Amino acid sequence: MTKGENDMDRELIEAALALLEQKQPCALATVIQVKGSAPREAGTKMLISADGSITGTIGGGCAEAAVRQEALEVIKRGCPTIYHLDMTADTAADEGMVCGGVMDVFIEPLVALA
Amino acid sequence: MAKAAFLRQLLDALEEQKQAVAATIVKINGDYPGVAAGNSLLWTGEVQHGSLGSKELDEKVAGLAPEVLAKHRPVLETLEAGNTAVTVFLEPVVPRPEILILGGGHVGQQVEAVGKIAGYRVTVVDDRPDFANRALFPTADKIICNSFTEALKQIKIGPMTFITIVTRGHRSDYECLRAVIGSPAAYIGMIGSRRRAKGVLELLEAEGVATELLQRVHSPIGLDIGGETPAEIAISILAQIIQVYRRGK
Repeated sequence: MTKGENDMDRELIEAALALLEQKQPCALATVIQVKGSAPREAGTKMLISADGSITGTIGGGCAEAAVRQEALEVIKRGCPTIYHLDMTADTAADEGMVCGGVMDVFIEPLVALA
Repeated sequence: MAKAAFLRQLLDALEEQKQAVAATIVKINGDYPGVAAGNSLLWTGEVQHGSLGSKELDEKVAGLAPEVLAKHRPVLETLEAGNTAVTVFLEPVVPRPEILILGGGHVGQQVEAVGKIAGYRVTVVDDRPDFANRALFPTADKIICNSFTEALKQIKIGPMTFITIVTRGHRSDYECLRAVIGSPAAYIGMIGSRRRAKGVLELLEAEGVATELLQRVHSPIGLDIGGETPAEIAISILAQIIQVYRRGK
């Protein structure tokens, strides 16, 4: 039973609620579907603040950086999106990424930039 | 705000160790009044907190939730609201099992180390500052330095709590067991020789604690693998906790 398997990260939910209550712009990213070999499984969450800081991890590396970037856009736009990550591309292999899967990440603004 | 209420309910479910399913709309093909991506609800069996924005959808979620919970796996489902296809992400809210270590001595320290390796949340309680500190418990999620009875008044014990009573003496063991014996904990184990443990159990029985409750106590604690050192005993305790967690016995 490693962390992240079938259990919800209480600290992350607490952090999300705190940001929401303080009206600090932020977004919540949740892995909703995984195909092939991906770093984390469905349900994994990451909290992204408008300043770019993150709580939790959806696997690190390029995938995480891309989700973080997209989340910053979501915070600006104020509407949720499904971000599709393809780690099977040649570029991923070139970058030396270990995973060769496809991952869908739902990103929702908890507090949008006014 | 609806999302804050949802997250608060979710946090409550995690703290109370309630079994629940969280459902969130992630996509809509078309328009349906009141239904929007990001809408969430929390299903806890008896009650649904929040709404996806349509009674029809909420009912469909309630229909799917028991299976999501049973399989311990999140699913992505396409549901219909009127003629609109709505994609909903349903995930089980399964709190991480927590080991509550009562007593920060040699065995308690090893139980913390092994418990963290196995991926459990770990809380340590001791009434002595020298035995309830970060230096001794570098990876514990929570360290409480207080009298056992006071600390146990504040700690939430639920069906995912695994209690190991490993204090320095039978007086404290007795106080701890007395405080937790009626709790819904998944596991209660108490260290000590057969004789010492028997004394504590007899004391509680004389006080009127039901025999069925006392029979739940694992004592001598841990699987019988002949462990001698604190680390070996901690491993046998964890083995027993894993057995109860995975096999329910």
